[in-house]
Amino acid sequence: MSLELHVLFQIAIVGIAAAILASVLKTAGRDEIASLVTITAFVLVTAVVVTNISQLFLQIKEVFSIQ
Amino acid sequence: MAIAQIILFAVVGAMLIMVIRELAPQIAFLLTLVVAIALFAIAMQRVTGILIPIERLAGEADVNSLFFATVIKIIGIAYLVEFGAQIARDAGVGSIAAKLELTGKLFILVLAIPIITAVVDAIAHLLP
Repeated sequence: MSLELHVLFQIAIVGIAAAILASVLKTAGRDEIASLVTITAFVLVTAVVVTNISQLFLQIKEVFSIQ
Repeated sequence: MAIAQIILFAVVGAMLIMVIRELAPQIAFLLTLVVAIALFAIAMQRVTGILIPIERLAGEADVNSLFFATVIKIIGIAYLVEFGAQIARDAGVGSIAAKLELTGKLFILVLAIPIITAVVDAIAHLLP
């Protein structure tokens, strides 16, 4: 069994870092860069999550022999 | 103690989500998704261990393998649909979750039609 706790911490750290960076950039007056940072973090995390979802769905298809 | 590990994983995930929700709500949602996926994957690994002996028992009891495969497939579809619907509900779109559940029910009905027709045929044979 694989409880991937490190993935959890990875995502949490990316989220915290992005939030702090965005707020610092916003106070510095670089609103566009702040929003870019937020979007980049979102895309990064989404990539990880989508990979995990596809693995899970393949596993379920294999277990229940759907198609 | 695998269950203690799983519980601690869920608790740590809940704490992280609680912290992140203040800072970045979208990433908190993705974190929820990751925790759900990990727990579901572990449940699926356990189900594999259950299915093999059940399959053996069904083979010994001469259950029609077509019916058995259909039932297993229906259970799989039910799990998948439930998972997707709960993700949609977590994201705050209950209407999409309801439609997904409706679609899943229809798919299950379509898969169950051979079994239903077999039952009806058997009953028709019994009646004069």
